[in-house]
Amino acid sequence: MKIGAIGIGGMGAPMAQNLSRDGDSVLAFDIAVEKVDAITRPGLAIASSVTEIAQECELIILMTPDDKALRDVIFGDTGILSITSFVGCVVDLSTTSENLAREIAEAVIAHGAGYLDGAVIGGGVNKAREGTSPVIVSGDESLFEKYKSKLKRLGSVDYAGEQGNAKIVKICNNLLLGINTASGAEALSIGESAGLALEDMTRWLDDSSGNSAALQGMLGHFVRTGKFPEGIASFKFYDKDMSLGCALAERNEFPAYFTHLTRQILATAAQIEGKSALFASVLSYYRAMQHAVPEDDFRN
Amino acid sequence: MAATKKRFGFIGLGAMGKPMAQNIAKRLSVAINIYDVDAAVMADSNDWGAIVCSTPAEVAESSDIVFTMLPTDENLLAVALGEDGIIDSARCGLTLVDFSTLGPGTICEIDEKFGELGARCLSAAVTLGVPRAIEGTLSIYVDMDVHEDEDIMAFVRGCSATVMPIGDRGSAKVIKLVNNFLTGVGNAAIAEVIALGVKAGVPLETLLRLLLKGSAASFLMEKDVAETIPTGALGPGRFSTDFMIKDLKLAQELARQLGHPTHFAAIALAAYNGSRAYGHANDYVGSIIRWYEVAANMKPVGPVKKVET
Repeated sequence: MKIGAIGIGGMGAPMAQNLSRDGDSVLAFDIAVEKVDAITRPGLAIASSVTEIAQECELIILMTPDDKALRDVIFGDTGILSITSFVGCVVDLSTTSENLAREIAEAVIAHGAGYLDGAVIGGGVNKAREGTSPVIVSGDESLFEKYKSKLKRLGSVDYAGEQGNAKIVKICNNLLLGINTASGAEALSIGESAGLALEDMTRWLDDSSGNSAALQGMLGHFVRTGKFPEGIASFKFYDKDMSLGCALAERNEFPAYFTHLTRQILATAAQIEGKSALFASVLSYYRAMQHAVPEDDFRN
Repeated sequence: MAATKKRFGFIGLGAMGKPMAQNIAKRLSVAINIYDVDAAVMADSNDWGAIVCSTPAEVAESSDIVFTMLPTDENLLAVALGEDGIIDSARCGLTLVDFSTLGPGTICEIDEKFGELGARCLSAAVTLGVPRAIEGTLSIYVDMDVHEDEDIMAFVRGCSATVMPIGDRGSAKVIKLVNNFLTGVGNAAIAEVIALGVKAGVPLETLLRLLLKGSAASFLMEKDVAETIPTGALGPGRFSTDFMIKDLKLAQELARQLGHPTHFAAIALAAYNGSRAYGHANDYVGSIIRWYEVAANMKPVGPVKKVET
């Protein structure tokens, strides 16, 4: 089978490579040409357009950066739906809104093709490379069963029920990660301002009820090694995820105190730490804000 | 009142826009070119001598100065830059002055596009609400460019009692957003505190009377809260929860751009969304007290008026 992969950035590229197996070939496309040049690997052919993929592939995996890019790939003048002969299945793993997923599902089904919305809900670039990412997919269950074996090449695959569910879980996951990272940074900074060392605290908290992936995998990793783990989003990019969370809360008229607050805190940290800094560097912002460390030690 | 020979247009004839336009028409004795997406609000144009146009471009075509009063940034962008928008008739000497509550970035974006054609987009903002718009006694914040232009000021004075010059392009919007941020946070905080005080056993009237004598007294508490919560007059027809949500989002957007921590606005925004879920989207923003009562599992602090919708 020929499998299409649209969006081959940090996560999308290793995922596309893992799909190419057992005689299946992958035809990949990304709107950013420089990424395409960098990843010519065995089993991965590069398409010149989205339409080329829609003409040749039965299964198309999407990993686009935001709602606008996703909309272009589906509905654009040279999008997937511009190809009337396409009757395959689109599996959309982008971090985008659940209402857009439902809108796309309706249009793709009317077109005579299939659409599953999904998400990669953790593991970052490392697990994407290993093919062990946690993947969730929602929509038509028979369609899911049909392509499950192919999707398993990306990692563990769970069926999440009704169309849009996977997107909602992903948005909630990223809200939690953002909130946990900000609250973890706050807690560590409080401890530091009370005289404890960050290294000690993260070690002692490792087997505690307050522990989390954010506290160890994100902040603790930084404290121990001076670096954040690979594949962590920048502030600028993470604001998109927080904005998806705010919008989800608003559509459901939900009083999401922490979501709104964390979005503002991360945005403030972004201005001070630099927008290209990783969002987990909110720790540096907190340390500065709380005067936890002498001024000349800030953000070394 | 200073006279001007400039031709004038007004776009957006809602609860605020229409009385503003009517007062300008009356005080300056001029025929105004008007446009609104809802033709029904222009049906009485003959009564006040207004000339109905079919597009924003048509208003701009026959005007030198155009005021806009619209609900959202998207509405202004459509009116200014969209299909049949003002930009189709933009030319040297045309000035758009927007009075809507929206982000300063939108004003600058439009001004840049207009600038290429020799036109300008300046900003103003109004405060004190619908009753003062009807009286023609609004307080108006204006960019310095507006304040220095006597022709524009003649029309501004036509609908206001006080005009306050602020600063650079878009700065009138900033003061408006900051003001509404404060009223949004303050209104929620007062509701929270009143619910707490009543729950702890202090009668509502006593609580309000004493708070108004203390260091926490404010315009908001005196003019809004003290006149609405004790009577239960919290229904539609005044500044709504939805408008407050819009304004708090705008203030936070501005803060995000500048890297400024708006913690209180974030929490207030969440609370108003909670209030919305209980059906208060179009109710007066002070109806958040009803949501606090639910959240706090307590009886209403004062009379509850059933509002017919």
